Amino acid sequence: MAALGDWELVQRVRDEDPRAAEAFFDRFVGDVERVVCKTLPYPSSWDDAVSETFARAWSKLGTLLPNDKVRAWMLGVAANVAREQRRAARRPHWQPELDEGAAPVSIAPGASVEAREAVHAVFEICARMSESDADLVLLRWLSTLELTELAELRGVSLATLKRHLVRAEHIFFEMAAADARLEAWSNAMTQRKETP
Amino acid sequence: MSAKKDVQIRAAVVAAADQIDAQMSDLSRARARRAFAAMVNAEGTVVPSLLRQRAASKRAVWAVASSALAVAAAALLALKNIPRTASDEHTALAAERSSTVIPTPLQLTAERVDARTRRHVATGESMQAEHMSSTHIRFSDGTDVALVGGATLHVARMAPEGAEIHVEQGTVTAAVVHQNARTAWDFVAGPFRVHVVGTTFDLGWEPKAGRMQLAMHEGIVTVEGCGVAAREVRAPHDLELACAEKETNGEFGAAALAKTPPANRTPRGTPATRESDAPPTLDSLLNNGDWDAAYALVAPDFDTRILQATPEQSLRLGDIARMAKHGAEAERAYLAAAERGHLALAWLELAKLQLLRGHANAARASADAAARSGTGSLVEDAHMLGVEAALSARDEDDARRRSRAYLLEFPEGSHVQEVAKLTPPALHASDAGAH
Repeated sequence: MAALGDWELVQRVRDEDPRAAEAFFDRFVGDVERVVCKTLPYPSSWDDAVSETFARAWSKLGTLLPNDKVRAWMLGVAANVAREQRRAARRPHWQPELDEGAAPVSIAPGASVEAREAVHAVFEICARMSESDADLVLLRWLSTLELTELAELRGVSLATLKRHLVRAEHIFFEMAAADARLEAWSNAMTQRKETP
Repeated sequence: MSAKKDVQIRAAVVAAADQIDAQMSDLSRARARRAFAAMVNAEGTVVPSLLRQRAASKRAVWAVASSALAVAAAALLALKNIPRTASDEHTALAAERSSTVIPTPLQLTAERVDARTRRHVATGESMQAEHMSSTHIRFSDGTDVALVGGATLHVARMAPEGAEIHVEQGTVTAAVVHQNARTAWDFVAGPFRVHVVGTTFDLGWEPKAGRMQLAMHEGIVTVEGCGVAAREVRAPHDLELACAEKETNGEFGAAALAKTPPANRTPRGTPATRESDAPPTLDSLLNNGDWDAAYALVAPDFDTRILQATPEQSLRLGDIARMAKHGAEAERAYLAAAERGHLALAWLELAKLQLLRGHANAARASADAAARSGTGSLVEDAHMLGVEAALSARDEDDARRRSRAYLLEFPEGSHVQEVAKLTPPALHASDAGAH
């Protein structure tokens, strides 16, 4: 299965080959996690989002054509699912503190308070932006997608993508510069570098 | 924001992103893997069994119809007891075989969600939001259409790639999800048709006034109808179109297409267009691609703007000047963005511009800076530009060296053929020997 190209693998999955389904999952789960887990602030929603991404992908595999880029398509499905989850989290009835395992943002072990606050600040700033701009910033800066990947995911040319990204980054960094938590985190990093 | 602070904040965001522990546990991943595999397998077994159930129901209906005196209870009993015939088995097998072609393209589904209810929406259904409340239609692809107090719409068509929604009265807010290149949604307001690929906008229709209002929040749509040829409307942009009043009494579709306007009156079907009277902002001019007007807006204090701008803003100023064909100004803006922000994209744009303006050596240096500070395809583009710049400077040795470096680093790169074409023939000969 590992030797199969993406399109051949898709065809096997469409033929309901269970081994192909597992291979398909293994091939793309890293990409899906990179998009979903980095751009969703609550780890409790990751399982759902990853499962939903694959469920949606399965239901739409029939729409893929031989020349379609499967990886970019999967990244797009994951980005859509993550965006919907963030949208749901903005609704007034959504109470994360009641959510199961609601530790907000999964921070690497040993990270400082400033780091945690900085990560919160990034998500909060994105929540104040338009969905489209926030998506771009999150996918570029947190999921670290390449420009070409982002362009394919959005179905736009590289030039258009760059234009959109510049605009989104401008909005984001204007707000980020005014955020005390990011400044504190930046100072903490500087101090750490200066401390022998 | 000073350039230094900008760099610090960017570094802070990158470092913050690194702090996110973005991996599911092995247990969660294994669970998701099993769920996916089960889903793929289950589709193959569940669907045929459903088809069998449907075939059994069909048989029951025929049994009831053939026995006029049978009571409902007896029919239900018959449903349970009807024996399967060979032909039934054949039908079920055929159904089972045909089911192996799944998955078919996903048919769009929708549900209506308001404060009290949540229910399935069928094609052809009309609905109205109650006054002082809003109703949402949530489509299975993530698209959301909100009807604001009193608005009425009609779901005319649903297909895998999108739907057609008729706004009969009032305002709807639509956030259409762009799934792929085939995504296509149509919103019809009276005689006007708004074609959408993926965007967010408000669309209002006042039947009595024959007036359509479109407020774009994101993306691009195409509007046509009532004699208006298809035109693009980009965010942020408001558009208001009106058909003459007579066209609104139920027959505007045909009337709007009338080519012969009555004398002394606004031509039938000719829309009265009113767009925002406010002076255009830089953003609106850029969104409309009006580079000359955008440059005219920033030209009086172009250098002051560069001095005060963030690297990203300088990059944008560079784009504006370049597109308006003011090369020297564009070069200054790009240089500021590149030097202050160490933006690879700015170095790359600067290199392109310098090459175009015949500054080959400067272009070489800028391309090298872009390659050092960029990632991914940007680095590849920078190497390619370096080759071009070296050739332009008539430095064949350098061109050869750069070409070799490109081919080694990006053997399947998107510029391989171009590099091969641009490379002096001597390179091919020596490379053939070397490799």
